[in-house]
Amino acid sequence: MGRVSSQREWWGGRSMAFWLVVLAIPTAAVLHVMARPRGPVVNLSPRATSRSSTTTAAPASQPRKKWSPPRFKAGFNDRNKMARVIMNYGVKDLSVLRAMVGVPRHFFVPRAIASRAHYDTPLPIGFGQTISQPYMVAEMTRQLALKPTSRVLEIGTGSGYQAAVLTEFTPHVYSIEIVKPLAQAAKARFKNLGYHVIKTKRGDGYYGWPSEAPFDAIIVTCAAGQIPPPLVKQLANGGRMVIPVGGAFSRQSLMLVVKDKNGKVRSRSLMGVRFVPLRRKDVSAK
Amino acid sequence: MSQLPPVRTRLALLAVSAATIGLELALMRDLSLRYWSHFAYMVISVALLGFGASGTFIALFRRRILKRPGAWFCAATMAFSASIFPCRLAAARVPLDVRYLAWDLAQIGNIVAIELLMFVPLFLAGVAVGVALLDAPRRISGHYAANLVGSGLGAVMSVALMYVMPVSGQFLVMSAAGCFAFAVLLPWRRAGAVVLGVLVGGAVAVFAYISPPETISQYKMLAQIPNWGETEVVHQSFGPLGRIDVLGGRAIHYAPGLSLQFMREIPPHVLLIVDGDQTSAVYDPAGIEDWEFKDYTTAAAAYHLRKRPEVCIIGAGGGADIGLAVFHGSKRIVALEINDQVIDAMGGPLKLRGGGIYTRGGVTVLNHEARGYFVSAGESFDVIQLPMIDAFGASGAGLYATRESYLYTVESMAAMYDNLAADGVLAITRWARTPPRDELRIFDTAAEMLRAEGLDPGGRLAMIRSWATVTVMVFRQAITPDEADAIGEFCAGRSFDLCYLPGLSKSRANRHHLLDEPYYFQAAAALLGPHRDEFLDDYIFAVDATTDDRPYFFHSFRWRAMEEFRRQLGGASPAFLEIGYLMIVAALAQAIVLGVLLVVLPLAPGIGALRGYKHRAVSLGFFSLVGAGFMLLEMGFFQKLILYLAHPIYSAAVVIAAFLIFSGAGSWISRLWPLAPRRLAAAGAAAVAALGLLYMAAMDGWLGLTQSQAPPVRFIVAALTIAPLAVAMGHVFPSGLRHLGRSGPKLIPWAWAANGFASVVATVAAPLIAMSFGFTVLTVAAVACYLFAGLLFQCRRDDPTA
Repeated sequence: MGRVSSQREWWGGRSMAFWLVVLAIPTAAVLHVMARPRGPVVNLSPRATSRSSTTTAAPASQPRKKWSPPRFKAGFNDRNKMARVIMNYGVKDLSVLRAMVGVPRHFFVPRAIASRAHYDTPLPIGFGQTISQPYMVAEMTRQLALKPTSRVLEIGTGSGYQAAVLTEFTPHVYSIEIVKPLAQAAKARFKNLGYHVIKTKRGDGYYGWPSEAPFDAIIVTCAAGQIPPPLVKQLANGGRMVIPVGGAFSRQSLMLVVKDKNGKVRSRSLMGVRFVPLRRKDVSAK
Repeated sequence: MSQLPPVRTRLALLAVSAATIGLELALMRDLSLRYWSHFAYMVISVALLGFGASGTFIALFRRRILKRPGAWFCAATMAFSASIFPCRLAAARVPLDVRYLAWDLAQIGNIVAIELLMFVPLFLAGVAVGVALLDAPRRISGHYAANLVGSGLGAVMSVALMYVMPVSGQFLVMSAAGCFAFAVLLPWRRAGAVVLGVLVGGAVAVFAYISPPETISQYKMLAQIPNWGETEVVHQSFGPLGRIDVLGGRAIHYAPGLSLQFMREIPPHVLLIVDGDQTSAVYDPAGIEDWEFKDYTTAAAAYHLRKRPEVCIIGAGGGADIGLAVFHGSKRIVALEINDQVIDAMGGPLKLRGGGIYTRGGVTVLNHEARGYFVSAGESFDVIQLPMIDAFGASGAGLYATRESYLYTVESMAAMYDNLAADGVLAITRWARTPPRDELRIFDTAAEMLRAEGLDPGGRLAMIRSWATVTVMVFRQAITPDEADAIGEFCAGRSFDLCYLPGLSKSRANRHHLLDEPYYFQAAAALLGPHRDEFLDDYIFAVDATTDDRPYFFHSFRWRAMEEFRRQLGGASPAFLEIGYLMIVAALAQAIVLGVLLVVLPLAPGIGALRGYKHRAVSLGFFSLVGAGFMLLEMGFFQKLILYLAHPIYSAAVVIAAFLIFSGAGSWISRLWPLAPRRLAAAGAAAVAALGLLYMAAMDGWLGLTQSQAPPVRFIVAALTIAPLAVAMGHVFPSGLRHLGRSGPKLIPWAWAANGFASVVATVAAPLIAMSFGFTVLTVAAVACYLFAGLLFQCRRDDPTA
């Protein structure tokens, strides 16, 4: 009796649970939609990250490797807000925005300034290096036009944040850092956070990583008025190289170097600002 | 000061005064090395703040001080000496991140902290000097003379010390001078005083020992290279023009602006770094052909137009541009290098590491500043090269915004143009910036120079660019079709873009390093066309030609553009703020706040006592105007004489010393005139105004006569040029004070405070006025201050004999 009764109770309870779940799903969905910050309706959840690329094919690509970037709950709302700020700059590529939401930026800055990690500013990480403004990271990543099979070389690991963002697109990420403490810290951080696919090396980025070349994409985060010829050589035909121009805290534009399928190199300046007369008159056209 | 014999007092005063001026100059060098040069104004402003606050302090504690003036004088010198190193040590620990300033205004708190730490020893020095000057009136003139001679000696000694010791050593000398002062004053018969003296001396020694050598911003090249590993310091030297470090290592690769088409090896090289950031490479190629990489920079274009040219290079640096000239078989190469330490290094420790290029056959390196050289050279060169000398990142961040540059002005280009051969080419290379700024300014400056010569700039200018650099070429003769073709060919082979050539079509202007639009072509066309003024007015940056009157080539920021940047870029817009400019604006705001807090507010409790005086507004207005006018003129001279004396540190030393000495002399002479103080003050102000206008009209021409003379001659000429004006300026303030002493003695502390406050604010306002309106307006503003001050006193209706 007691057993039947308890069975009934169990069934009754289960039924109730069932209906609760049935009702909870649409309620949660409605609440979720209502609770979302204003802005374009997009799904920025990293789980929905599209692996598709926006532009060119990557000729030096590797076979597709099974890789799921680590996921972090901490600071998720901050990253969501950060992604919306990036979107306001005109970066509409969902895969890039999702990548920015996916990587916990606050783990990549010194603890003392972790509370400012998601601010719309670059931040100092020591040794005269900076972690770029989130918008710049997003734009540089977008310009690389990555695919899941792309091989990417990063010159200047810094704190490792940019490399972590790259792993949201491809597991074939190679990163070189010349400053020993930064290289060591980044390596440990990758290990702790689960970014084990990033191959790091402490060394002189000028020479690139010849044994792993060619690369479909190269990102140089520490240019100083010179583009090393070895890097141009290690760029695969059809590959893209992105370089921020200007010093720390003052990166005002990006430079895109493209090697076409015939190996011919062209470059382009990607200005951060549209070039309009202050009084809205096109004087030059007169 | 009856407790001490006058000789000891004067000896101590001389030492403290010398140490104070030396400390000011050492602080300028220290902060320039640690950060960038825009702290110079801040140091002068803080020094004045210290002296202003010390005046207020003495006014408040006058009675107590007069009870034991000797003890106060001794204690103040002791505290001054003891405070130098602890304050420097604490300042070095302030985590000021200048480059982060545009993004994080909290950094202003760090600037204030550094200012307050600089303020402490300067305030104590002010107290020491002020207490000494409270002595019996018959001794004052002697004390005053000691103060002035000490100040002058301090300036000269400080520059001399820069040749023989690093900045940290100079702080030790200044601290030792303070120790000497209190040792002179100390009553050695009293055991307690002796123990105290020994303790202070010991504390100075301990702090000097633990005080760090020069600290350098983490963003400077010099701070970063050691982090790369396997680097070595090849050579190090110091001098008034900066600290030189030569570093070598496997990770050093430096070939700025190199074409993407150059794929071969760059010769081995070391880096020559001035003041931690201004970098050039010393290459050590195996043969002439190894200089080929330099031919893949935009600066090489001129060599493809002239065969075996005679060349002048401005800024020899590490010799890379000499190498380019050698590669092209130049017949004769004259290279100018302002810094003799660079020449010594190239001829000494670097001789076998690439420095030999300086002594190669056909190469003559002159230790000369360009403007002075071209005034007297009377030579003609086929090619004059003005290569890039500033750091890549620093220029982009606007760190040089407040720096006067007399190389990139219409007058400077005219001097270079006059030294070109009949078919010569002047080639000026700058970093390419997005959106374009410096490059367009060079183009417009060249065009203005040609217009001033009565020539059509359209046919004599060419502009080309790579992804990193822009070269503007100014031709003595109109560009021929063959020359235009040669430039086109040169660019095509290196993926460089044509920006402007006579007859260039838009379709040829933006082919290799693509921009959204052919902006350079459009801007060049606008700058040469009838709508130049409209273009300049509308452009997002200030890119109009710079002149000697407003030589702020690196300052192109416009506040009204900020709204546009904010609209387009939101939070990314601070990237376009010029840090140097921002620093000056922040310094002005701080000078106002600190001036009120430290100079004016402490007097507030006694304000009720002033109610009985009817001319208090006029009096305080007079002293404020005199304070502002004095500093506007002094700072104007400081900025203006950089051209004549070739470097800010020389200018600061000569100007500070000359103004102190000659205005002190004027103050002494003012007692000799048989005129009522009020009349004398008004007459003095009128004389300053008249002389100011005369200087404005004639000083450039007068100094131009000796521009090519050796530095010591120019120092003396500059000091003597300042003398008449400073003597006249020295009449005004003391005469005004004497008048006040008779008509309203309780106003005197307030007069000091008003004068001090206005001086502090004017010191920082002066560069802002010069940057916005030019030196002429700055001088007119100073003249107006004196004129109004004179009128205020002249028109007062009180006893005319007072």
